[in-house]
Amino acid sequence: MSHDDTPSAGDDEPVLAQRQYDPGAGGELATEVILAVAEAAGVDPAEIRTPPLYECIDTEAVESVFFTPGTRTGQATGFVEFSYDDHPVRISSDGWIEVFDTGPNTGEESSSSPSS
Amino acid sequence: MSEDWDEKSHTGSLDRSAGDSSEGPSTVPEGVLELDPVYDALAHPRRRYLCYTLLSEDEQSVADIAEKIAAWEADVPAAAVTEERKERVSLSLYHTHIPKLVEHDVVTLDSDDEIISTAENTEQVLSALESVGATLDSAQESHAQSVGNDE
Repeated sequence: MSHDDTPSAGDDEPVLAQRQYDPGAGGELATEVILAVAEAAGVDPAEIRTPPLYECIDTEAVESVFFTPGTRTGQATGFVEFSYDDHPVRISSDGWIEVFDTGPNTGEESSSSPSS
Repeated sequence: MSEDWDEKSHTGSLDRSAGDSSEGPSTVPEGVLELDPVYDALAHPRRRYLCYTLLSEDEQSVADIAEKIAAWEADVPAAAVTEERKERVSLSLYHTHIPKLVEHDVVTLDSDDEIISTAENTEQVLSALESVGATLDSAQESHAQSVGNDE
């Protein structure tokens, strides 16, 4: 796993799969992310074991920042982006999970990377 | 009354204004600062449930645990749990909860990714669970320890 060339999802990269996470439905964000990744890859979700998503992102932390109504700090807006299985994945605070195609130019820095 | 309060706040508080953390407050027992595995392990109901299952058996299959958790959450017998519910729980176990517990040496996962077993910090977590479990989570505990004969 490299950290220096993490693909960034530009607006021009096609979305391979998207799902909406509903924090009120009792499921977990991690489950929804894996279901989206599986859909993008066209495989059975149970076949996706490695790496554990936890090695790429702490979805509990994202839940506590974006999806915890009734708390002062649990309703931030924005998105987080990480790379899983060579696919850029974006979780937005409106609950949408998008899995992007890696794109033909993974080596190039996208000009639309989120400012840090 | 205010004096009582004052005393307590002194004995229980860390001096946060101290600039050099190298010395550290000598009044805090060392063990207290090493409780991260316990708190992190127990911060989520699914992880608590998973740890409860280790009270009765040292080894558990992830599939069994997923089925039990799904049954417990839906409040139905294990036999009534749908495959979809089971899979959703299983995905969260494999992708967040088990890795977190492995990271803290609370459980180990076998090389086939099928069986979890106890590890170095299991006992510490279980003793913390046992001390709060009787009052807070006793329903969860007894459910976790029942072996599927809940009909």
